[in-house]
Amino acid sequence: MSLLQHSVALLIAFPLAFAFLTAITEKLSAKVKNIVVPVGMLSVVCTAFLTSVDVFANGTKVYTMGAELPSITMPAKLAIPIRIVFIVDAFSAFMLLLSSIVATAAFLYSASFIREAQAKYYSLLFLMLAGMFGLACTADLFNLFVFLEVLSISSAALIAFFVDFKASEASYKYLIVSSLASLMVLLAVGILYAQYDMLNIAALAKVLRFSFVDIIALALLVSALAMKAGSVPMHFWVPDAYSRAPAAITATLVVASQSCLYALFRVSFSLFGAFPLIHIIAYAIILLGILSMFIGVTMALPQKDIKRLMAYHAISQTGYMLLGVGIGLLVGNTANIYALKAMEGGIFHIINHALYKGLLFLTAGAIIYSTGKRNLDELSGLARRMPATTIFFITGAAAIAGLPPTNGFASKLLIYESSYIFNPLFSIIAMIVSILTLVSFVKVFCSAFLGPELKALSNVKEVPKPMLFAMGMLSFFIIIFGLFPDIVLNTIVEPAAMALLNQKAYIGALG
Amino acid sequence: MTLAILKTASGFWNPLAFVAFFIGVCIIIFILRAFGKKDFKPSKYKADVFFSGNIASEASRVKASDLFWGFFEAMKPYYNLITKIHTGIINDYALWYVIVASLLLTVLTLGVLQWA
Repeated sequence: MSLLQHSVALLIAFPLAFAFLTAITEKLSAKVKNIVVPVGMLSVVCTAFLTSVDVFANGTKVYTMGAELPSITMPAKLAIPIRIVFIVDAFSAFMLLLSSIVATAAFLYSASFIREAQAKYYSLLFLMLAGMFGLACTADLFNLFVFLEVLSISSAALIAFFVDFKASEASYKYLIVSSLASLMVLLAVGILYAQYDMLNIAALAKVLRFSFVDIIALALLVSALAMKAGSVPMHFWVPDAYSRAPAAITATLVVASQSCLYALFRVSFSLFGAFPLIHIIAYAIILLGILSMFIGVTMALPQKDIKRLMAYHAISQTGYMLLGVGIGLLVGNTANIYALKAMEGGIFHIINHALYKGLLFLTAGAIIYSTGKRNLDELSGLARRMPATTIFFITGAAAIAGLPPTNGFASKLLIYESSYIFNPLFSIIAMIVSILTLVSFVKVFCSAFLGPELKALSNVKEVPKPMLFAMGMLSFFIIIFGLFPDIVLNTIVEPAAMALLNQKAYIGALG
Repeated sequence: MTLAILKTASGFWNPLAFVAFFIGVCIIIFILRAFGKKDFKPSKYKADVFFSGNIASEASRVKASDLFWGFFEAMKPYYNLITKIHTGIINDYALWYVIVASLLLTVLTLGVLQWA
């Protein structure tokens, strides 16, 4: 039996094992820790990458923990799956791929960025990855709650990594919001378990009767996961948390929020996909998307704190994903080409956003690292001192504003065109938001990188090479995804959209 | 050139054609630039930043908070409302969750009642 067969189990086992190993080896020897951390990250990223490639090439992978064979989901003489089952379809593989790309960049960036308490930092980063991978792969509602908790607690600890008042406050707020969301998810899971005696998403989807109690569970799940994804009007924690976390962690937090978005889509499509009134949820998701886009960007415009500004843009960009996938949920089948393209646009935007928003947060971190300042009013003329960071910033800013030929343009084009068919207003708002995004990043570029050099910043130097390499890596993906969007779309986005739309295939994967 | 063509629902997007066009425009600009003065010598002032015809100093630079002043003035009623909502108080964060969850549940309940 090849190791690849157990790759799904290793996806969770590796980050968990290396999280504890890192902490232990720090106590034994710093040199050993310096070997364990990169080896751990390499193992985790390679496992995620290989699993994704395997799923895209060979179809959905089902893995049952503790079974004689990983593919046996039902224990003998039992009618329901009681073991921990993981179903990794194309949408899960898509999430694994984007998590591993951003995690690699975050890890490289942290090599120079984090100088103190490295063991604690990397331990928590591994735990974050365990949470994200678990969320992407689990087919069990209770484990979804468990991985949500693992992700929330490790993220909260990392937000407060630079121990100061504002970071601690941001972390506290994040923890409270996450606890509230997790509690509501647990309540919904309890409601469903009390009725059907099972927790497996695919098995539940087969027997759901859509009673009033089920509807309560649905409302709790959708609202809680939308809050964790940073959707307006439950977005208030985002600027606090994103702006205070270390830059590499902020980039990873973007993916963490997208993992919650993944859970929201998984619940809406794979669990409640057959609900006759699912169009109500679709309209709710579209409305949250429109609100997130507009309020996010308009709140970003007056910000002076560079990371806070970018955090509001993260909220705004989440709106595009909600709009695209919301339209897909509204139509709910692959026959309508506009709905399919809207879905593809929304899903394509998830990976694009992870790349360019990750890059932008890394450039913001580079500015703070070199200048010690985060207020745009105190920055000027950095392009002379930090030319490479300037180029990376321009790449990220062009992508987030949806300028051709970047990846942001490709995914936004699909969303504009498809949403126009359903309601021209959706498309018009999406375009206005893109213009305002461009305006906002012109402001950052003019104030931080252009203009006369300030005496206080005359000693500023370019950031160390590992940080540049991490930013370069994300820029590379942005350019490649922008120049060859068809390859990305056909290879990973379309299968992910089809996997999400095909509820029967997800249920059938259980056997 | 079929590679890199992104097919949308009713059209297509070819980024490589866009890049080719962009490179073409750049070449034309460089050709036009070549017709410029041959005796021009770059001076130390070449890279200085100008603002309204004067060399920009630290005092005269346009700060981030000065940009788009007119936009924010015109949008003042909107911003007064929207910033009031962003209180930074954690109780309000939870309250907004309760509002959204209740609204969603109400709409779903009404939908179920109509459906039944």
